[in-house]
Amino acid sequence: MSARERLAKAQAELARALGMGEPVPAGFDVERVGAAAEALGMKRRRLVQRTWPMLAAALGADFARRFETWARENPLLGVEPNPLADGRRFAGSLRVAGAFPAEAEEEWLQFELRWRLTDEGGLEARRGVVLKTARVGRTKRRMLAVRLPGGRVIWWSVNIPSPLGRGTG
Amino acid sequence: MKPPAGVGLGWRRQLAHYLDEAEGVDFVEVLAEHLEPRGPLPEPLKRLKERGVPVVLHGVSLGLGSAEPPERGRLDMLARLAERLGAVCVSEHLAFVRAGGVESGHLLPLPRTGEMLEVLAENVRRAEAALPVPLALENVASLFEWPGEGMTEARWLAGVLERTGVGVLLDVANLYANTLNHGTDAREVLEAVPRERLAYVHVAGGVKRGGLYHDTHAHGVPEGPLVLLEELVARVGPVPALLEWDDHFPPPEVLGAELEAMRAAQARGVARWKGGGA
Repeated sequence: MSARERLAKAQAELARALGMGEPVPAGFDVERVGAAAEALGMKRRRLVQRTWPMLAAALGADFARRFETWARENPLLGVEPNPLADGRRFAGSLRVAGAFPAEAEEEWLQFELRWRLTDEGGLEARRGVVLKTARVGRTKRRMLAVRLPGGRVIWWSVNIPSPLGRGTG
Repeated sequence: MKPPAGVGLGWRRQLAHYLDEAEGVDFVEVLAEHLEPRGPLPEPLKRLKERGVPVVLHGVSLGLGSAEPPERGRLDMLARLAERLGAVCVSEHLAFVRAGGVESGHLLPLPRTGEMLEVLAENVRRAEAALPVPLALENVASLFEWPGEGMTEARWLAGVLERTGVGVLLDVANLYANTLNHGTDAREVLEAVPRERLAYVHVAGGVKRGGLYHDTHAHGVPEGPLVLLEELVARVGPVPALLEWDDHFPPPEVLGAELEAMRAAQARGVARWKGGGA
């Protein structure tokens, strides 16, 4: 094994212990590496909390626990770690699990109008006109949002008559 | 552009307004990762540039201590930004940030071995070849160290200087953290860096938590880093020093007082400096 190969192996073991909760490599002070892992986890969570404030607020006390569980299985990806993208991956996992809070729908939409998550976990700015609909807020008001070229976003409240009609007069 | 001198402040969007008004900031450091390599530079940054305030470009994600050579794309981005900013130098860290496909989002310490030094020196050569301005490397703080019989931090830094042509960005807050958390001999580290290799100094705040000192860049600067700054200046003469503040930004008067405290530490050091002719 070359110096680079030996080093790559040792650094990867340490990075996995810190970011994914894998066993601390032999010889390291387990407690200290644990303290560092905790500090890194807190930093990652705080950054996502700040870039996805509605999501964090909607999950309340659950946010920290859910994020940490998810983060251990989903380390930061090999592109520029970006809390907006990290949060979007977390949010996506909540949607798949049907656990995404309705109160944060607007935040999700804001992201989707402007950005696309790449396969590598990075962000790509959407171009041209983007149109999305969503049910927003506690009342689940239906909204239509259009992102114009240049980035301006216009929102409309859409009143689609309920097929059952409202009141029979 | 003139080299940095005096007291500087890390440029952050949240501090842009302060920097617009502040009189007592002699240079700034811009985080490469906060800028769009192809997009327009933020307006407040353009204004600083026009005012002739020296700018240093600071990177945190190159990972020069990685087992893999630095990525071409990252180096090109730094080079492009350095040129657009008119940066006097680029600074990065004696650290690795990713390995085996895992991104740590942090500056991780290196094993202080001869083998690591070889790999680092080769990575540094590649980086220097790609950058249009001098490169300075920063000592990092860590809550843990690599096991085994590594070099002392002073010997390691001296080794980096022997094996490469880089300058040193000496972070006295990181050094202070390592003295508390690992018993690092700070004086020995200060003595390992000759003035001509010293680019500038970082100062930052931190907090003691659970028996360990955390270099948070979000709390006030304790006495320790300022004492180290004074010691350094007393040994080598005037050295530019820059305050890093990344989170929980304080009101302007607190920031101003922190910068003044750094200036005072520099002045105390200069008064003790034997080369000062006093």
